[in-house]
Amino acid sequence: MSYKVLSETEARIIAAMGSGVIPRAGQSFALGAASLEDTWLPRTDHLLSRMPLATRLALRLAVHVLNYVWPLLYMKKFTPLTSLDEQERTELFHIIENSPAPGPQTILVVKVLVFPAFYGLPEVKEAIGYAEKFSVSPDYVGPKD
Amino acid sequence: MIKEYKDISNHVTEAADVCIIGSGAGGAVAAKELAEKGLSVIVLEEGSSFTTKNFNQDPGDMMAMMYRDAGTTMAYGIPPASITLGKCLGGTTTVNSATCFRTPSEVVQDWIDHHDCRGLDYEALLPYFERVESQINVTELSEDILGNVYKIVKRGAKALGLAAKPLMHNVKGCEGAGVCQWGCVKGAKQSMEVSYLPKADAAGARIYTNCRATNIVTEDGRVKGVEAVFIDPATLKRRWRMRIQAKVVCAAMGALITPAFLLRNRLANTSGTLGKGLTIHPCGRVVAEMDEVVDGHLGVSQGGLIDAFKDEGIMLEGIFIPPAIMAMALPGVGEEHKYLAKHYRNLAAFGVLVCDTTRGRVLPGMFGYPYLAFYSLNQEDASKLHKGIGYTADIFFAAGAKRVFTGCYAMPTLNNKEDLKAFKRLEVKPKHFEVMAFHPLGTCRMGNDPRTSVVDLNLEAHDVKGLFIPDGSPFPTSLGVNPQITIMTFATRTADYIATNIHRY
Repeated sequence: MSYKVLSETEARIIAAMGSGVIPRAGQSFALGAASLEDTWLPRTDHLLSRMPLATRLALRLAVHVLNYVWPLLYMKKFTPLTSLDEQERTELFHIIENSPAPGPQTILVVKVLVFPAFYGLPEVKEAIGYAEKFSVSPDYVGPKD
Repeated sequence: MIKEYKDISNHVTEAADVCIIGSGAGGAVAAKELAEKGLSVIVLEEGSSFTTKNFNQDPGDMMAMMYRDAGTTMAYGIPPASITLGKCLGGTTTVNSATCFRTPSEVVQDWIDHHDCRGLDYEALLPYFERVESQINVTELSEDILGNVYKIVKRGAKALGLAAKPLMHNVKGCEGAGVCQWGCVKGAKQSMEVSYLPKADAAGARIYTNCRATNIVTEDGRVKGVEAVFIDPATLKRRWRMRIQAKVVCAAMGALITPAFLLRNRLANTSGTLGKGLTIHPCGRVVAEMDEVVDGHLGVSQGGLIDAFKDEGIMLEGIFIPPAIMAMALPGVGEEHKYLAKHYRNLAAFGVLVCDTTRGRVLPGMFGYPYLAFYSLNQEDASKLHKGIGYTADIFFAAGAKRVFTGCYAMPTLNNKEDLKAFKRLEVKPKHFEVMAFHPLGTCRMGNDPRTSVVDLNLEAHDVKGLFIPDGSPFPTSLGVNPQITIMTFATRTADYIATNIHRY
């Protein structure tokens, strides 16, 4: 898949981040970020495309750095995040979120990259039982630039 | 006449009595008031124009569409503070929660007594408040529309002997869609593009969207006009140039962009205070998990308030948001997170707004940013935020909450009242908070003395004749309440002054 902003590698890392914060299965709902990454990743990519160049570059760089630094720092593993399995990613994020600063703040970056895109999907809204009070306007034509 | 980028096919030259940069709470009001008084007015808005035809209630899509920098604007400091801004016709009023407060009289008195604003008169502001409130239909909503979170908070507050009150909103026919910040899907919110700007348009104002001001042209200490460029909204690239000859220029880009713009233009800074004195109303968000189904999204985003702690500089105000954003306010990853997402309908949330004593600073932007803002929360404000979160948690537990999430990294989850006691005893520092803010103010402060202020009490720059700043920048201190009515009121007053004195320019 081609993206407006993200490289394939960056998309893979963000997808890995997504699968760590929202793993598949479990008792609450079956969907995980990995189940729908073809749908939410382009939405994250679009959001990034509307950010200023410097913000985009900083986030993209951060994604590469965190891919290696997180497992090394918090799990003492020389393995990138993308090579961990879903459960290991979740464990890693749990450790980071419960660490002193800047651990929780860095997890917030992951949430910013994943949640707005993921929880806007109709399948996800349905899975968590959320429905807007009203549907969109009858003459809705879609977002514009 | 509202012209968008697609309507422009060449460089543009215009002339008007007044050129207004920005179409938010300040600019739109000034435009309508001046146009209706017979002045020729041009409004420049950098963002695009949107209607309910474009609103799909999805925070991700709407942030990408209507928020400056897709919602990533912030002030750097400890902790960094997210300050979201609208970038669209109507400015931030298009993406705010429609909450209305008059300026507290004690705040205006403080400006008069301690901030060199002798000559301001609260009584004289009253007719302006009334004029603004009638234009945007400030009204009290029924409890059903205010939503279940309001009812829960009211219940908890009552148990503690506190009073929760309904917030006032600028709406017409509101049905509580609960997506105020993502564009009102019912078109009920009387934001500027729905209320003031159509009237400005009808009175003959020429409104240009996708048009970014680049310079204010001056000569011998007087404004002569504005230079601007049209931006292709799809690529964000500059295209056509625009030159406007004007007797008066109103810089109404908001308290973050106006000072940065003026600093870059080397204007209005004889006092050396331009860009200094930034206040933001740092906010915290407290979320409670309830046994009952709350369905907080089936009502307005901000339903009620508790002002019992106003004297401590703390205001508690409702806030409820869709899951895409609510999820970011909750702790946990993996199954812990999924549990809370699945129980979204059982969540209630309330906000803590701090009347801040911290002062930040705005500098001209670089690397494509229109401004750089710096703001590090001081210990006094961090303590207020801590206290406010504690009060809100008290209210939620009194209303029967199972758990409360504080937004404080030092203790993000409170499982019971014992935890709450421990939370209140914590020694917290500014770095422990996730801070968001929505009301930047104070960066072009008003006052009588040109040595210590940027604009006079009519909001005209001391050292540039014909340059007015009718936005949130001139207010010398934090208001302690949502500022849109204050901004609109002062903009109306300034428009009256300009119209009366236009012959002098």
